[in-house]
Order: sequence, then C-alpha cells, then structure tokens
Amino acid sequence: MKSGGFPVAISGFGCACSLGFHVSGITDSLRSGSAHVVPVDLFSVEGCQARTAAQFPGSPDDFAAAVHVPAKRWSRAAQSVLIVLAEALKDRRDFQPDVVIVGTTSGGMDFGESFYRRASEGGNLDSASRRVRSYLPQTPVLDALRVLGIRSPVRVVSNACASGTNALGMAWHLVQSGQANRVIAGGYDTLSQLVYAGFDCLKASTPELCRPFDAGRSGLVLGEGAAFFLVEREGPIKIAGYGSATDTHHLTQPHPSGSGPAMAMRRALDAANCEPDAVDYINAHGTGTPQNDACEAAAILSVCPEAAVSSTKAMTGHTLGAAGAIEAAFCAISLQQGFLPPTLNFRSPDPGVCLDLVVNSSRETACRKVLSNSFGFGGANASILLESA
Amino acid sequence: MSGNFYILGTGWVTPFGRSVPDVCDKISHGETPPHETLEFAGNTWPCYRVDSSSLRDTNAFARLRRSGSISHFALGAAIDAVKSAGLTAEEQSRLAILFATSDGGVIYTRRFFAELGVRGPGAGSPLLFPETVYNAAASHIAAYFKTDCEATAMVGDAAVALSAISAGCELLSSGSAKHVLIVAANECDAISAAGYSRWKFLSPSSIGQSGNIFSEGAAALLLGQSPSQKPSLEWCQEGRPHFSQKEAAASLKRILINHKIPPSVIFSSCQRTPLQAAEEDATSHPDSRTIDLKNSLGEGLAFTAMAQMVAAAHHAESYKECALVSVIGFAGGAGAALVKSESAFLGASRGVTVLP
Repeated sequence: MKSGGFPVAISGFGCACSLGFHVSGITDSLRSGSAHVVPVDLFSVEGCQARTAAQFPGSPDDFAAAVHVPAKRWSRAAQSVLIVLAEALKDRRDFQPDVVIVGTTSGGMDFGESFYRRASEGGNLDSASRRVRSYLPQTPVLDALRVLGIRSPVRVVSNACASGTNALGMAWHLVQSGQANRVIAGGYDTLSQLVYAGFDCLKASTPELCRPFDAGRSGLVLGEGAAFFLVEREGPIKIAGYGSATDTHHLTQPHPSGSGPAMAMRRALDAANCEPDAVDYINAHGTGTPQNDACEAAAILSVCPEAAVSSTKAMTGHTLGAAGAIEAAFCAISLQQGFLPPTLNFRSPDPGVCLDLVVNSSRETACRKVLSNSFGFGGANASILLESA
Repeated sequence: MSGNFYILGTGWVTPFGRSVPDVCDKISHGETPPHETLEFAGNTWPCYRVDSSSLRDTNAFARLRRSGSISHFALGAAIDAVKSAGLTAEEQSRLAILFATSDGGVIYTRRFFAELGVRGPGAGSPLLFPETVYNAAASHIAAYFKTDCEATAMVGDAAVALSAISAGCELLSSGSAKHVLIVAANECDAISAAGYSRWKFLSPSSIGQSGNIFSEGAAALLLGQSPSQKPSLEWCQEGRPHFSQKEAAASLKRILINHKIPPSVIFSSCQRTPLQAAEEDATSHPDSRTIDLKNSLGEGLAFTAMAQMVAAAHHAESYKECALVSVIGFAGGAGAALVKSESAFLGASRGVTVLP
C-alpha cells in the first residue's frame, strides 16, 4: 500500500436497524443496552430451530407508509435504503457523490421470493416478473437515489457479511488516492425467508438468545438494517485505515487460528500507521457462533490484546451485508458520544476468550481510535479503523 | 486515477469453448453454438450452454466438488487468464481478485428455495445454501491460487464488469496489489430467463425474435502495471445510471465525448434489444465498424460484457487497433472502455476514472 494521500472523513451518516430508524434513537438504545429481538412475523419459520429475529420496529405496513412509497413496488430493502440515505443527506442536500458504493448480500430478496412463488403457482408470469427488477441488489439503491435526485455510478459489493465494511474500504481507497472527492458508502440487508432458512439449516442460528463471546453461546440471531455514510476529505470522524484479507480454509468456516481476521486487522492498522496499542475499542464481528467468536478472539488477542471489545449483534441481530456499515456507524457514535456499547446477554466468561469485554451495560469512556471487524462466508475478512478528527 | 494498465492475460469459458482465438474467429464468422431449452411454469426459452467437457480442470479441483456451474466457469476463465499472463506461483499468491456477476449462483438459489417450498422452511439443504452467496466463486478462485489478498464480489447488470475493472485499477494504482484478476461470470437458469424476458433482452420461445439468446460462461482479465507489449487499457468509465433509452444514450455520449475516442472497432452490447438505438446513437462513428458479440455468444450479462473486453484485447493485439467496448446494462449502467495495442495511434485521454 502506498502511504500518504488525502485525508478521508465521514461528514454525515444515517442508520436504521431493529433499534430504530434514526441515529438519535439508536444512540439511546446503544447506551441503555436495549435489544429488539422478536418472533419472526414476516414469513413462515415453521420447522426452523430458530424462531426470532431483530426485525425493524413496527409492522411492515407502517414501515412503507413512513417513507411515502408504494409497498407493492418498493421492497422492504428499498424502503430502508431510502430512509437511511435521506437521514445521511438531511443536512447535505448539495452532496453529489462521484460514486455510490453499497454492500448487500441479498438485495430485494423478499420480492425475488414473491416472484418465484407466484410464478411457480401458475400465476401470470409477465405480471410476476415486474417484481424481479426489485430483487436485483442495485435496484433498491437506484430507486432511492432517484427519489433523492442523485445520478452517480452505483457499485454493489456482495462479499457476504463483510460487504458493508468492504464498501467503506473501497470508498476510503478512492478518496485517499484522490480518485474521488465524494462518495456515499454503506450497506443494507433485510430479512428474507431464503436467508433465514439458510442460516438455520447450517445450524448457525440459535433458538435462544444471542450471547456473543459467552461460554454458552449457541449461535446468531439474524437482523435487518442499513447504514450509509458521506465520505469526503473533511468531517468529524476520520477513516484512518482499512484492511482486507481472504481466508481460504473453507467456504463457511474460518480457520480456527484467526489468521484471516488478524491479517485484515493488521492491514487496517498498517494503512493508518497506527500502533495496535493505540486502539481503544473494537466493535467485533461477534456473531455468537462458537466458531466465529473463538477465531475472532484469537485474532484480537494476537493483534490488539489491550483493546476493549464488544459485539452489538445481541442487540441488532446479524444484519449480514449491512453489518459492517451499521457497526461502523456504532463506532462513529462511540467516538462522538464517549461510550462503548455492550455485549448483551452475557452470562459466563469463556476461558478461551481473554478479552476486555464490555458486557451487559455500556461503558462511559472517551475513545479516540476504534476498529470495526466484519467477516463473512468465503473467508472474506475486513477491518476499518475510525478515529476522532 | 492515473497510470498505465496492461491486460497481461485473458481467458474465457464460453458456449463455443475456451480458446480466445478460436472463439473470436467463430464470432467474426457469425457462427452460433447449438442451443438448449429452459423451461419454467409452462414457458420456454432457448439458451446457449457451456459444454461441461471443457471444464475438466475445474472439475478436478476438490473444493468445487459441490459447487454450482458459475464457480466452474469463473475458475476456468481465471486459470486461463493467469496462465496466459505467465504469473509465477509467488505472484499468484499475491493476486487480488474481483468477481463480477449479475445473477450469481441462481441455479442453487432457485433449487434451495424450491426445496423450502416442498419440505418446509426448516428443511433447507446445508450443501446448497453456502454456494448461493454471490462471493462463493471469488472465494474458490482465491483458494485455487492460494492468495490471501482481497477477493471481492460485485453485482449488477452487464455494466458491473466495467465497475469491477475500475475497482481493479484502483487497487493497482493504490499499490494494494501488483496484479489484479477480474472475472465476470453468469449461469443460465429459467427463473432468470423469466425475469429478463419481460424487458425484451432475451429472445422468447423462438430464435430470431427481438432480444438475444440467453447464455452462460465467464471471462477474465489479468491486469498489471508493469510495462508490457500486451494491450493496454486506456480508460474505463464504469456504468452511470439511466432510467430510459434517452438517458442511456446521453450517458454513453458524455463518456465518449470526454475521452475524444478514435476507435477502429466498437464491441457493442445492445444489438437486437430495445437499447440498440441508444447505443448506436452514442457510439456511431464514420470511421468505426461495430462487432456484435452477442449474435454468437448470446446474452450472458456480466459475462458477455467481460467477454467484450477479452475480444477487444484480442482484437487490439492481433490487428494493432484501438477497440472500444460499450456496455448499456438493463438496470442502470451505461459505461465504456478503450483497449489499444502499444503500437496503435491514440489521441484519447488516458485514465481509468470514476470522476465525471
């Protein structure tokens, strides 16, 4: 990596997840340690071992009405993208990005499922096909940008659960090297039956509470959300460095040594010329699965053993392609508000996880440098370092 | 973005086979491969499929034992591109990988979801689901070359191939990688055909009507910055969104005017589709001739856009000419790229850029 280059900063952001649709409300929930994990009512989960998810608050009908768009034409994903982009841009209506970079894993999957069901049940294929356009991962973003009057190239990164961080990393590359002046970057994903059933069949989901880093952790809870950032040269939060690495051990399982995540973290620190002991806090990927958390703990211990660590996924669920962006937003909130969000549902320490975990209640402390980790299927590992400007 | 970007290697897996010169020859003679038929919910669509006998090397790679077609196509094209560039094992282990696709592993996705419908949401197959993620092929390619560098998947309409090339050039110019392997792939499935037919990009039940024949395959470029006699990528402008034919033409025109292009050959993307007029309006040039790849290779979205790049590189190297690739995607992307041989005259501005 060539050193130097232009500074990269976040000048604004928006976020929505099970904790709410706006940064102010989400900040309150993070500080108080609230969660919103409910029985799934968007689709059938009959026969699944898990039954809960961190859904957006309110009913789907309320949700569509809130953004003043027709729910029949706008997928749940498109609606959430519009809400979050509007919040990110609310004080910057003049912000015209050179490019928009978005992470997602499943796009408007709910509409894809609807198309498949209607078509395979003998419905009118031409009519059903209208929904396919909204299934494509770029469509929710293009639709939202059109409403907001933004006509920029859109890149969709789909690197499993690292996608949101990859998108921010791509934005960092572009602004740092002077190839772009303004970028909108972030991620989104909403719940769908296909993805829910997928994690369930892999036995990655838990039928009980998500307990990241706990000795009794038994799996993840899925969630939904979106976060978007205005990335340019000046702003209150600096993107100091980004690193990515591929672990080719297995398509769905990390190497137990944590070598892939450790490499991504080291690359992010190297890119920022940052010493590991300068990192105050790490928002861990922390899915709550036995394998992820053991592997990530090993990686953190080998790179930043002194940093405070928490996983916010017990609060928000695992939002997949949005997770990296949402958790970067939480890191920005920590830097601005001076507190570290907690790892909820923690009962008993795992002897293999010797970390300074922030558990069950938030920790008031000023921090200056924070790292956000995201890892995904395919051995995709990404870390991003944020600091107060 | 500045700097020189060389196309050090190319490869593809097509319904016509894997040899770049042979397939280019067939394209130039207007040949078409035999077609098969996709069927879904009482509808049928013709399609060009890859002959699995051309994938013996990928079938031998143990990690692909349970993978879908798209991963085999992508790895086959990647192997050929890396081989033709002559990279050492050590260079391969430091490859950055960008994988572009429009539909991803749609066959496994449909099968997985169909199983849920029959057996219930709690009875999905753990063998199918992991291969449905868009970046599965990128991960398999990384495993084959034993690289621990970035391996990223990008999704979009056909123009995603140009976005991936732009992103690859950014990795090179930032010093994050010395070589970048950019692969685009797509596989045929009836569920995709059902969707795309609605937009008249695919030919309906009989050949010869409006639209192209649905097709599958992969194409790959190996990019580097070391000076080379291989063709260079003069510039690549990734897709700008459009919401109408008029906007698509205007976007493409703006790109071409900004770069003052004097191409000898244009590899076009929209023949026989509703966007053909827009593309012709933007790219028409009295001194250029147009080559229609899709008459022979069909409509494979991201795959065929990258195949246009491979064909352009082959053309530039063989005929010492500048070759323009224009791509108008069906859902928002209009972009272009210019490839030239080192000895071709060029008065265009150089650079791969996202800036307008």
